Formats: sequence, C-alpha cells, structure tokens
Amino acid sequence: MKLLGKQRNAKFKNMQSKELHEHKKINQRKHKRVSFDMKQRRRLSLGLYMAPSLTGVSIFFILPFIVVFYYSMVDNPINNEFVFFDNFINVFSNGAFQLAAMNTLKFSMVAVPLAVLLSLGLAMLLDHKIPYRSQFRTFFLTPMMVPVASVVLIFQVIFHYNGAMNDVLSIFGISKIDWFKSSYAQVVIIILFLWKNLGYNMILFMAAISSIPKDILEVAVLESASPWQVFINIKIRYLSSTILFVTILSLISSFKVFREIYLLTSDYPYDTLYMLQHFMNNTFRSLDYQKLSAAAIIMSIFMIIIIGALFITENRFGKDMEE
Amino acid sequence: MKEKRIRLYIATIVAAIIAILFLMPIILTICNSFMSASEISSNYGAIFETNEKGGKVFISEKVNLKFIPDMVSFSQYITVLLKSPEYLLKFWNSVILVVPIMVFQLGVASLTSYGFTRLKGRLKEIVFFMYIILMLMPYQVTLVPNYLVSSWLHIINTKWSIWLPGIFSPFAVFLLTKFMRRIPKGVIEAAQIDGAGEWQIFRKICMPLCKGALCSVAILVFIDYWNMVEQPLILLSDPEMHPLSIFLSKINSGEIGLAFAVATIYMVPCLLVFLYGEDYLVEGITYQGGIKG
Amino acid sequence: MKRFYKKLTLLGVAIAMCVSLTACGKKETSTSVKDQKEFVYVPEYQEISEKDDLSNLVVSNNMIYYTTWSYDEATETTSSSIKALEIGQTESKVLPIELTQDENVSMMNVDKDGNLVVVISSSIQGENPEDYTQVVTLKKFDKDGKELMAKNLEEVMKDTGEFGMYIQYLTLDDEGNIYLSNGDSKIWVLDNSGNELFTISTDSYISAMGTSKEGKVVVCVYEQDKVVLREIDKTSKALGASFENVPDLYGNLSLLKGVEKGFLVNSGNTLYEYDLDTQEKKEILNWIDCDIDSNSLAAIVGLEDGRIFAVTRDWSGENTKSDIVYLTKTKSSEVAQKTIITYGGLYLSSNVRSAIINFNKTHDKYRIQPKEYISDDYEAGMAQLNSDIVSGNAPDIIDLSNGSVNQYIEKGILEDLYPLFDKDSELKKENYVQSVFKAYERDGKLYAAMPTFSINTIIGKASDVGSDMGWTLEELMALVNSKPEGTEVFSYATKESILYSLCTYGLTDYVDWSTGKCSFDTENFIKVLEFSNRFSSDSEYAYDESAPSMPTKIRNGQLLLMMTNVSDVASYQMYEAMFGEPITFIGYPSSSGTGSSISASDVLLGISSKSKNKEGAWEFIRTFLTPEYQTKDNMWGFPVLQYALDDVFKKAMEPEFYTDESGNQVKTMKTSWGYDDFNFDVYEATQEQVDKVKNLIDNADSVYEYNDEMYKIISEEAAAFFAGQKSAQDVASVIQSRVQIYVNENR
Repeated sequence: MKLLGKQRNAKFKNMQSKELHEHKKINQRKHKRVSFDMKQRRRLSLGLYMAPSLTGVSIFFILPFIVVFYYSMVDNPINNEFVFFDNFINVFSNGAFQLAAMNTLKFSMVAVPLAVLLSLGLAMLLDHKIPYRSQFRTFFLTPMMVPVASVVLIFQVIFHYNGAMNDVLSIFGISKIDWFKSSYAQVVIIILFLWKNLGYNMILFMAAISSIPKDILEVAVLESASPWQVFINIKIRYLSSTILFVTILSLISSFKVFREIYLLTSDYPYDTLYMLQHFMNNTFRSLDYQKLSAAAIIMSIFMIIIIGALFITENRFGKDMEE
Repeated sequence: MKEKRIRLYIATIVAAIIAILFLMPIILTICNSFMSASEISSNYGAIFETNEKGGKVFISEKVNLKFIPDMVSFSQYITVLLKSPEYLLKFWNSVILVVPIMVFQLGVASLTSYGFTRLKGRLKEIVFFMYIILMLMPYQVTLVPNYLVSSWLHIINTKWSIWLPGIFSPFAVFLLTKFMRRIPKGVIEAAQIDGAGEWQIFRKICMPLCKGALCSVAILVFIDYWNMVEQPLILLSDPEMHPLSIFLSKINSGEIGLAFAVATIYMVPCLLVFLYGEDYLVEGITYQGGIKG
Repeated sequence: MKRFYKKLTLLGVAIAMCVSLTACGKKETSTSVKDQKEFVYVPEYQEISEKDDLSNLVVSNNMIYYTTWSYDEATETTSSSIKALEIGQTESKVLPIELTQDENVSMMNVDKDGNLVVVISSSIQGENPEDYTQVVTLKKFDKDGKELMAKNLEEVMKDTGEFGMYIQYLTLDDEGNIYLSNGDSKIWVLDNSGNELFTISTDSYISAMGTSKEGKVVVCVYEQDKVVLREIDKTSKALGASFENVPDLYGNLSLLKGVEKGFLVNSGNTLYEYDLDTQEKKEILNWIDCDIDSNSLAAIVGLEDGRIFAVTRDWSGENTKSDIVYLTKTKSSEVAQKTIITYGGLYLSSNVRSAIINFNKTHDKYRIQPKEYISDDYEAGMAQLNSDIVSGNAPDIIDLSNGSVNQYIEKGILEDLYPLFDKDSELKKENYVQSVFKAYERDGKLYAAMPTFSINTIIGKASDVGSDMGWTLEELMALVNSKPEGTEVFSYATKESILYSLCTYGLTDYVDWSTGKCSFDTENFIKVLEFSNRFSSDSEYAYDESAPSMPTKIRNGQLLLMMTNVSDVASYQMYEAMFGEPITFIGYPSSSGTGSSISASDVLLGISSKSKNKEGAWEFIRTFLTPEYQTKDNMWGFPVLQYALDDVFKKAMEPEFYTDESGNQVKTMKTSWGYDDFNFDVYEATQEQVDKVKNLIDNADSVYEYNDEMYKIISEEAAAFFAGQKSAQDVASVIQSRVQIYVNENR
C-alpha cells in the first residue's frame, strides 16, 4: 500500500498535459460515449505495446510460414505451378524421410517414458528429507545448464569404439560395441537426452509434489496406509496431470535432440541415428525448397497435434494443478 | 523409525551416486582441461585423429580416460587465452550473438506480455495460442521461414539473421505473460481507479513485481541461445562468424588438447549464471509448468 | 527502485533501436536487389594493320606506343621495334630507335610528359654457348624517339644474383621517379634521370605493381592468406600503408591507373575499380558481357572521357590479328535486348569462353550469360551449383562435367536433347558416336552432350589379363595372387588411392540412382575394401628413389597394371611400346560391363528441364557439335562426330613427311612421348592399333561420375578397417547405412 501511495503521487506528476488535453476533447464531444472511447483508447495503447513483437513475429515467422505453405504446393519457386500434394507425396515416399520419421518415433517412444519415470523418481528421492537436499537439486539441474558442445568431447571419449565404456564392459567380458555406428547408437543419445532433461522435469514434479495437500498425506499415514499405497493412491492421483504434462513436454524436447546427434556424429550418421531434423538440415543445404517446405509443413502439423493434445490435457486436468 | 532411517540412508546414497553420474561429464571436461597437450594426445590421440576430409578416424588402440591429470598444467589456458586469438574470437562471436538477443527479447517481450495480460477477448487468445505453437516448434520447422525472410532481407550470413528472429522469438513473451497473470488483479485495478495510465501501471507496478521473472527468463533465454547450433549452421555460412559451439564440434586433432580448455571456458558463463540464479531458474521452470496458464 | 527504472529506460531505447533496425534491414534490400545491370559497356572495334606480335602497350596524349617483335624466316633474324599509332588511325609509324638483334624491350611505360621509359634487356653471347651475360638497360626517349637517357642497370641490380637480372614490373610516379621490380625480392626506385634513390627488399612475392590515379605507387602482395596492396613509401623507403579487400590479380595488365580514382583492377573476367581511400572495389564490367575474351587482352587503359580502351589479340587464325576496342558505358535499356540464356558451371574452360564470346558476337536473338560457381573452395562452388539446380534456379545450360550426371538425370533436372536434334536442320543424331550418346541416354532420351571425350580405363599386358575387355575384382585378385610376392599392382598405389579409384570408376556398381538402391554391404564391395587394404596407407607410403622407373618395372613384370585416360591414338601407341608387348584395355574391375568409362575431356553440357529458352540453349550447345567445331585441329580428346572421329583415325594412320633440302619427301615422327626414362617417337599407327582404340570407344559403357559427399563417408569409415580396428563387413555395413541415407535424401 505504501507503494501505491507513491504511485498516486507519481501519477499526477507524470500525467502528460497532452493527455489531459485529450481528456477534455473527449469530454466535449459526447458524454455518453466517454467510457467506450476510453476503452478503445486503452486497447489501442496496449496494442502499441504489442506492436514490436507482433510485427517481428509476423515478419519472421507467420508471413514466411504462409510462403512455406505456398512453396509446398508448387513445383518450384520460379515456375510456381500448382502441384498440390505432389511434394507431400514425394516427401512421404522418400526413403530417407521414412527412415528419419521411424527413428524419431522410436527414439521418442523410448526416451519419453524414461524421461518421465526417472525424473519422477528423482523428484520422489528429493522429497525424502535427505541431507544436502538443495545441493542435490543443484547437481541434478546442472546438466541442463551446460552447453552440449562442451560435453560432446567427453561423450565421444566415453562411448568411442576404443573408449572408456567399452573398457568397463570388457571387464564383464562383453565384447567391444561400436556405440555410434551400430544399433546401439540410440542408447547413447537416449543417455545424453536423459542427462540433459531429467533435471528440468524433476523441477516440475517437485513443484507438483509440494502442492499435494499435506493433511491428506497425514490422514493416510494415521490410517496406517503403507508408503506404497500412499504413493499409488494419493501422490500419483494428484500428480496425474503433471505426468501428462511432462510427457508431452518431453515429447516436444525429444524432437529437439538433433543438436546432440549433430555434434556427436555430423550430417550423415549411422542410420539408426538419422532423425527428421537431419533430413531437414541436409535438405536445407541443398535448398530443395519444395521438399523442405513440405517436410516443414508435415512436421508442424504433427507438432500442432501434439500441442493440441497438451491443451486438451490441461483443460481437463489442469485446474487443480494450476492453483 | 529405524526402518525410516535406513530408507533415508539408502535414498541419500542413491542420490549421491546419481549426482556423481550427472556431474561426471562436466568434471571430466574440467579436469582434462588442466592436462598438458602431450598428455591429452597420448590419452585421446586415438579418437581425434582426423583425415584430410575432416572426418574423425580410428587410429590407436586404447583411450585413457582420466580424472586427475599427471601434472596440473595451465598451458592449454595460456594458449587459448593469450596465444591463439581464434578461440577468443569465437567466444566473442558467441557473446555478440547471445547478449543482444537476450536484452532485446526481454524488452520486446515485457511490453508484449503486458499487452497480453491486460487485453481480453477471443482474438488475444488466438494470438497467444499462436505464440505458444511457435515456441514449441522444433528449430528445423521455424528455421525454414527464418531462412526465407533472411534471404529476402539479404541478411543471410550476417549477425542480423540470428539476432532478429531471436529477438522476436515468442518464448520470453509466453513466460512473462504467465508471470504477469499472477499479479493480483486488485493491485492493478486500484491503480486504475487512482487514474494511472497503462504506462504507469506497466512501469511502476508490473515491472517491479516481475523482476524475478525477468531474471528467470533472462537465464533461460541465455542458456537457449548460448547453446545454439542449428541457427548459425544454416544462416551463417561463413565459419569465421560461427559461435564457439559449432567450432568446438569441428575442432581437429592438432587442437584436441585445447578443446577441453575451450569447452571449459565455454561452460563457465553458464555455470556462473546458474550459481547466481538457480532459484530464479527453478521458479522459471515451475512457471513453465502448465503451458496454457 | 530508481536503478530499475533506469534499466527500463534502457530497454525502451533498445526497443526503439530494434524497430529502427528492422527498418534498416528493409531499406538495404531495396538498393541491393539488382538483377539486371543498369549499365553495360558496348564495344566498338577497330582493326589495326599490325601483323607482328605486339606488346608493352601504353597510351599517352592520344598516341599508342607499343613494341613489336618479328622473326624473318629467310634471314633467320629477329627484329624488334617501337612503334607509335595515333588513336583513330590504322597505320603506325616506327620510332627511330635502334634495337639490335639481341636487344629486346622487356618493359615500357610513359611518363607525365609523354616520354617513353624503356627497359631493354640483351644477352651477349660469350665464347662458349652456355656462357652469356645478361645486360639490362634503362632508356628514356621523347615522344619522337629521341634518346634522352640511358643507364645500365647492372650496378643497381647487382645483389640479385645470377638469376635475378630481369625486370618484371615498371611504373612511374608523377615526379617521374622510376619504380622497377623483379617480382620476387626487390623493388628499385630511381629518380627521373636514372639515379638510384633506394631499394626495398621483400620476402613476399609481388604479383603486380602500379601507380594510382592519385599518384601512389603500390605493389600487390600476399599477406596472411589474402591479397593486399602495399604503398611504396618514399619517405621511409619501405613498404608503407596496406590496403585490403583487393580483388585477386596477377601480372602486368592487372593493376592500372584508375579513371576517376584509385586503380582499375583486372581480375580474370571482371574489371573492377578500386578506391584506395575507402578500400572498396566496384565492378566496372565483365569482359564476357563485352564479348571480349579476357585471355586475349593485350592492353587496357581507362581513357579520360570514361571510355575503356583495350587491345585484343586473336591467335586463332593464320596470322595474329589485333583489334582496338573502345568500350563505351551505355544504359542497358538503350542496347538492343537479346534473350538471355544462362550458362552455369564450376568454371569456364577457355574453349567454352571463346565459344560464348563468338556466339554472343554472331547471334542476334540470344545472348549467353555465363556464371562461374567456383569460389574459394571447390566444394562450396559445387554445393552452390548443385543447390541452384535442385532448387529450380538452374541455369539454362548446365556444365555437368564436375557433377553427378546420373543423379540429375534421375531427378528429372535435365531435358531430353533428341527432340532438339530432330528439329535441327543440320545436325543428325545418327552421325554421332553411338556408344558415347548411349552412355548418357535413358529410355531413349539423351540428357547430355559433349564436344570431345576420353576414356578412363586400366591397361594390362595381354599375356596377363587376356585379350577380352572387362573383368571382375576376383579375376584381378587371382592375377595378383598368381604373381610372385612383391609384384606391384599399380604404381604409387596406396590403400586410399586404390579405394578412391575403385569407388569412383565403379560407382555404378554400388549406387543405382534409378532405384535409389545402394549395395555397399555386398560381397563385392567388401572385396574392394580388402583389396585396397593390401597396399600401404597414405601415411606409410614411402617413395623409393632408387627403384627402377615405371616403364622399366612394367617391362620387367614388377608392375602389372596402369590406370589411365585415353584421349588419342598416339597415347595407345605409346602405351603399347611402353609395355613392350600387346596390351589390353582391361578396364576397372566391375561385376558387369567392360569397366571403361567415358568422360568429357572439356565440357559436358545439358539443358535444364525448367529452362524457358530450350531452343536458345540448344542453339549454343549445337555450336560444339557442328562439323566446323568437330573437325577443328588440335582438339583435346576424341571428337564426338563420327566422321570427324573416323578422320582422326585416318590421320593417325597416315605417315607424316617433310621435304628435305634436296626436295625429297622424308618420313618424320609426328610427336614424341615420354614417361620417366622411356621415350617414344610416334609415327603412323597401324590398322590394328586403331582398331583397338575403336574397340575401346565402342565398348566403353559407363559414365565417369564423382560424388564428394559419398566418397567422404566411404573414406571416413574405411579408415577404421585400414587401421585394423574393424572388420570389412562391419565397415561395409556402416558405409551402406550412411550412403543409403545420402542417396535417399537426394533422390
């Protein structure tokens, strides 16, 4: 309230004389319309606040996106002949695209559930009153902060054909695995993905866990419910919306895993590591606009579906979590 | 009670093991940066031998992964910081690409978020939804439009092609809007009744209350762009302008010793930001929970 | 609190800047988009009646001075003279300057007052043939040829050693000081009467020297991987200020006094204006746009009235023909508009360049506008050309000689040339070498054509490989195994080079662009890997200097095979002699076919299927296929026109004679070939030899194709096998996996 007092003083000082003048003009015109005009004016000024961003977003994202959509429908940017779905058919029937889509799907199917379960586990772990709890939180969160490029070197050393991981495995009598160039390649990337993303998910879960009403837990303990029952019946129920949310968020970030793969293995990796983003990136280099546009549209439609699912989830379960 | 204590012990031990696993790559990188060039190449020469085409090639038999250097040496850092300016130049490239994006994105976003918070109606909802979709799109999708615009504006291969899309990226708008919505309506209404204009409300009420949020967003934006790979790869064809992140992945055999030092230097700003702003960061992530808000 | 507002204000400023920046960005575009050049230089020709070779051209006060050099066959004497020609006139007059037979004008320039400064070098023969002394003299004449000064430069140039006694650059400043350089270590500065002022020694190689409009004398040197101009500083007597952002330039015709300011810089096909103050370059003209072959330029001078004056020499005819060209800047809208046909390739070969210029000079309807894609590196240029083609920006005519023809054909990028042949009133497709056309034919459609071709193949002794063409890798390995230990298969072979050759020339075995199927994980490719692995690696390869020469090894049986490119009958004759017994074009090992592939020896041309001017593009391509072009002498490679090829064979079988003093016809060798210590004089070929070559051409069944990206993947992975880290099977399957992705992506 003290602040508000200050506010009021400032208001009179700062009120522009021009603004006052405007007030008068409006008053003179039509008394009944005043409140409506004020509202309009307010909207207009707020619109002005948003103008830079709206312009920027339109210029850099929305308008070109419309062009991308157009490109995906024509045969080439010079002829501009409409071919409708030919480009999409081409992309869908492209072996590289199919492979990329399959790999991305496979990756997400494995990485996302792991990311959810493990981060939930971490959050639960920190929910215990263990010593150095906040330090542990810091440690788990650190990978998120570290640039991928910095740790790529170490991952290369660990998972190299002659690297540390194979040395360790050889102790157990397991023969050498070519981690980056065999069907094990996705394992490495999943590890890297989890390493980067668990901390983030964990924070989301920790927030959700702390918002579970304490009295319910206490009642449960009083009624001598086993910890397992408490976990299943109370915690999971309260966390269900967060779990869904984290799942979808992880799904989205699993689409961004290209960066790690690129830094580890460059443009043309072993086929199990070839993701949709590689397809896009390599097509970018040859600037095949039609293919590129069609692939971008396909990918964005897919993303919109996922995001739509996210929204439906939130609308249905989101209420209790939000507050 | 005893059972509970044992459980606590186990939990602590598990947490400690996980923590070690999580920190290991970072610690290894830092430790290795203190090795002398000869030690590095005798340890890892195997991996980073390159052929004339720049691809990595297998040569020697074994790799020695070590935590503790045989002899602590600062020679790598001396080389990186004093002798070979190209690394510092790339580091500077990173800074010059990231900082303007961070500052301007925050500026643009705080205004826009205020607009989003104060406006009502169907149109605003739709526009905000659009921002969210854009925010969640993978880079490969948004880069196509970015590239097109950049080529129309003839800014490809200039810093502008990274800056401008970065500045107008919808991420900060989204997060700040979520923060601002939590400002109690009463505070704003009271100010309005007192006759405060939008600018006063924005400046004197909204911004001070969002200080923490601005920090969170700044940190998240910073990490995101400090880490960028895709954008410069596609929009900047001149390797001279590439940030350190890309340069690091292309480092070759002769410089592998330096690579760890460079990697460490590259991490330092992130770790500093983290140490300083961990709570803001956590707050930021928590607010991201619930995309729609 | 207060600080916080301050920050906010900063933000506000930031936003304002940001908005203005976007505005800036937009403004930039409106000025920088220039598809059509606003001005063009229109050439106006004037023939001069000079038959002799002219050089050292300078212009002063409406007069052109130059030197000529001629050889009189009757008296076997040479004579040089300095001539003057008034601009606008055709007849020149010889200046009364005596030059002896041994004297040769190596440099000439003209000072502000119109006096000629000349560097004359002469060699004085001693008693023995090998001892002669080089004398370099600097002389000055007035405009009528009266000698004003003469100075022996021996004293000045004394410390350059035996081989440094030549002058490569000569320029003068406004005070008449004379700047001389030998191009690699010394710059000498003399005053206007020839007294030495100072000498600059430099480590850098000097690629040009010149005086700017402002009177600054600069040299062009390489510094830290870039070309810079360094001013010659008279006060410090050293190289002074440096100027960057200079176009690549080389030689005497490259750094010329500017018209308005700075320099005119001639860099290959483009003439730039370079401003010393702003250190900026501006394109003035492109020689090809002016229908001038930049190779034929003998002089370029920026005239005071803004015109560019140039002299071109054409050696192609019987006599050297010289033309004076005045280039006048004209608004392009005032020039008769022709339909532009774009021509894109990595770089223009000299044949293509002169063909374009001839075409542009003679055709009213079409104009070829070439674009060279080569930039700093080969790969980037290739990538750019490729992306232009794939993205629909393809030039109308594409030079395919460096590209992936098969890939383009399958992508539908190229137009069928047969319908254009059918419409052509003169050229008939039946008249061309069928095996060559077949190689670029798919389903009865022809996608590329070339003027001349050569054949890539492997040669072996018939006693080793039999007389039939074509073999498999197993047969090759069986041959190698049947030979004693230590027998070389190919000379200078390493793991990497063998893998490269086998992959490049056998690529069709492993990649089928029509189905997009790769077969690197086959037994066959694994054998290629294993075979390559028999050799020593690049890094281990040791050059043995004491080893016998390659021809000796071949004849001794120490070396079995030779990879080569056959482009004429004479090379076959030479190889036969070198091997010392009958040879067979056994070809590169392949699972099917002869393993001999066709490659274009100059250009391989295709028409973009997206081109809007296919007729125009054909008009140009057909010039390479006309009988006139095909029957030209001195072509590199076999002509593609059948009767021209037959003619080549016929000529190869005809002996060559010369008439001796007594009037008798004496058989003479046509040419002489050498390979290491082996020398062979080529006389007429036998019918059998010609038949062998004919047979090779008829049976060549594949097309040379190189794909950088693919080979990069192959070599990267194969290294693990070569280093003994992985089995060939593992490596082959990784290669298969990665290349398959590449192929799928690019289909």
